[in-house]
Amino acid sequence: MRILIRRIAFAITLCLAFGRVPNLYALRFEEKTTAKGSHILVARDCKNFSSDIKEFSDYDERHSCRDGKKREGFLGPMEDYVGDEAELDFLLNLSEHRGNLFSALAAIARYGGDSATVETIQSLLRSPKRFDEVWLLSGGGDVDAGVGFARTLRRHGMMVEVPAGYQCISACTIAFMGGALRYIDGRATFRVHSASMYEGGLSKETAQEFQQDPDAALTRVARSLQIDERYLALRLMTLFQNTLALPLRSVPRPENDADFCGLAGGSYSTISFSDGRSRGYCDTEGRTLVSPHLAYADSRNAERAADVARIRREGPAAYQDILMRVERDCMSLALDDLELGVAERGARAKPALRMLRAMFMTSITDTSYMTHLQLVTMGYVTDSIELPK
Amino acid sequence: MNKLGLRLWVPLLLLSTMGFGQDKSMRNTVGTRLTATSEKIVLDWDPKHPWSADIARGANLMAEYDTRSQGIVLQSLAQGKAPGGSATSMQFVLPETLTASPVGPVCLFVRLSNNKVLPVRKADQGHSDTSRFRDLSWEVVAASHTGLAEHKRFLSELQAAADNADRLLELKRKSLDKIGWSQGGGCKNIVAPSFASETKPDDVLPLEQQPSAARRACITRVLGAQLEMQKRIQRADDDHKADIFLTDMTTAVMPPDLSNYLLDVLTRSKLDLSTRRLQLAEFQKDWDTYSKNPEDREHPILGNVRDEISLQAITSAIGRDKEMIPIWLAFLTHKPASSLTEKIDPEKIAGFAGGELEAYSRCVVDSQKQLRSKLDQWEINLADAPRLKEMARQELIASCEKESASLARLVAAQTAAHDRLSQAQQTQPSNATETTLQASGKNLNAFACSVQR
Repeated sequence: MRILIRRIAFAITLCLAFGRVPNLYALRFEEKTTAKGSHILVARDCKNFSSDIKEFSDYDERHSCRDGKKREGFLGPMEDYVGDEAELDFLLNLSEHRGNLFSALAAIARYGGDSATVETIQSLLRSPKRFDEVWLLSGGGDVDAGVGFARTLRRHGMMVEVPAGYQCISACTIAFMGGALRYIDGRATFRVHSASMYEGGLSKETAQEFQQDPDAALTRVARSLQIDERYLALRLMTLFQNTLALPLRSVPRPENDADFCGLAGGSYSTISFSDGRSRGYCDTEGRTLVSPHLAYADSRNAERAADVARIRREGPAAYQDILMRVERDCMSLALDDLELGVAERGARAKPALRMLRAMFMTSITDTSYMTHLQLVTMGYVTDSIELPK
Repeated sequence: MNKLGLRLWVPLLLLSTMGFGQDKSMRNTVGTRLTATSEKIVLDWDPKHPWSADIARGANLMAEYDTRSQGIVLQSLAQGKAPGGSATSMQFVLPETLTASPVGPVCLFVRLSNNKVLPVRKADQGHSDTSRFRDLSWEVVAASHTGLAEHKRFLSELQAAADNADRLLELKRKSLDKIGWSQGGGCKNIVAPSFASETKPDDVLPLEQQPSAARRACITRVLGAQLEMQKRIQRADDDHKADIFLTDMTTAVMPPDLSNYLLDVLTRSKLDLSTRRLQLAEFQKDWDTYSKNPEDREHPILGNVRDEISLQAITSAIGRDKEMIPIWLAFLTHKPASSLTEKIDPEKIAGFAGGELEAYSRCVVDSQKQLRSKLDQWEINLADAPRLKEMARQELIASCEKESASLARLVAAQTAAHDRLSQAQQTQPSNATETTLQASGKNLNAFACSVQR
């Protein structure tokens, strides 16, 4: 009994320690001018992968990074932010002369705390200039932020590049797809992998559930994940369908997250923050999707039974492993289902699904390097054709 | 009678009744005298002219004439002003050319600064117009000069058009030369670029080689993590070696002897380890087969030399738990697993070992999927390449034909422009004669004029 109590306590402690996604630093936004006179907006990690580039690592040594989840504004601590996409949108609007001193001051108050972004805002106020390109340098982060970033880039019709020496990994690769034209230098790194809600751990409530009744917990979570992954698949597939086409040639498919959530079987809601902004999310708790059939949730599923045995044998280490595997299995199920109806899903549905499969065939703890051949044939980059001389 | 008529007739009546005592020569010309010299018209008027003060303030010599292109034109030819004092004479310097070539007579009249038109003769049965007159000598010369100037302008415009046509054709030819479309052979011989990759990438392997390649890739990562840890331990001072060991060993998958050790420790427990033993056997077999190949370290089939197989966050945390330290110490010091006496929660050991083995197995499965994806993309590229090449070729041919048609149009336009210029250079305007004004001293009051409307 004492061992059991200690185990529960230990498990809860572990899961409490990792109950949130580890604090990510928010992106930095800096401007650059190339030797050819192009004006670039660089969206990069603070530290993390920016440490490989000397000018950035030197800057980050001297200027502290912002907490990605909680932000220090000039007016005091601010709530969970909507994402770096809001800052990107603001800076691009300002560069396109759709901003003024008042809105810039309001933005500085809101985004205050990041010296690089404030400097960029001030520079744009002093001498307005339109950005020719956005460069990306990031190890990734929040999937929702990546999707928001992509949509913002596409709305502004920006050219996006991952230049030599830069890396674009994980959620950055989703953001990258928003470029109207997209380039990756041969000496840059572009790596994709799955998204996961459990990379950093799981909540204390879920850990307790697993401890007490792993079989019921697995069934419940699997049903919820089936809808979560289907929602994510619909969002990403439509994003890729829209961004695989040059913006001049096609009418984009609507990207309505509330509709996607409904189609996936969830219920769409919005969280509002005190500064007036809001973020949507798809609530899947307690819901069941009838089709496609989730064999894992069947009453005597052998795989689930083996997982239960593993949990009883190996404890909390097994929860995370199993959940991340079930996540990917649910995504695979969603993609198989979307593939069945691919003909009705509109132009570029097939290549969009191929990109999703490439992402989710690799665990979030690993990455899949994309070669130039893959980047071109899958449509990640918009390479030009050289006419014969 | 309209207002205009009144404005003319009333002063005329006044003028005719008042008489002009001093200069009888002006009596019939209502107190005015217009004299043409070679380049001027001189207006003299009677000091007792009722409009004398108005005239003295200044007047415009106006011309009215019909033209082919602009209809009836009203043109101010010159301004005249009396020198002041009691002067009753002013001069109008005639221009060399008119605005446009006249068709018909060029009628002149004097308009005062108050916009009144100066009568220069009495009305009679032949002419009701009392103000318009004509200087035929000047008119002939001015019309001729005007015709010449117009022709010159026309030639200049045609020359500019011809030059422009030359320039456009030259630009088009240069741009087609650059692409290579003007070198003969026609559009049908255009060669489209190839969409197929020229060399097969190293990571594109046939299906049957993929399982072993995946295992090789994963073993390379495990070996890499171990070597990296050893390097860091070697470089560190003694105080930090243990920390490095603990951190690195619990972050990435290590060689199978570690998992083997953990499972041996677990032998005392009642846990069912059969699945894990099978997994470990696979891992051990792969390690024995692939860990000794240095080439894989230098040129990994997937990823790069710095890659490792990362452990899940909770597995890592368990590995760093204080309770696990005796196991790590025992492992490091090569103590047999059976010699461990500490009571360690078997769930933790099993959890960590399970995490290691699952991570390795997952690496093998995922790597195979990646290799399969790369092969698929390669095959899609090969399959699509001929179709894309043909599509590109058709696009290029259509583009070339469009450019050829554009070139032909520019050649035709150039020829036409030069023909027009050549024809115009060979023709002279009908009224173009090199003439000069002769001095005349002629009185113009009697030369009435009207423009047919």
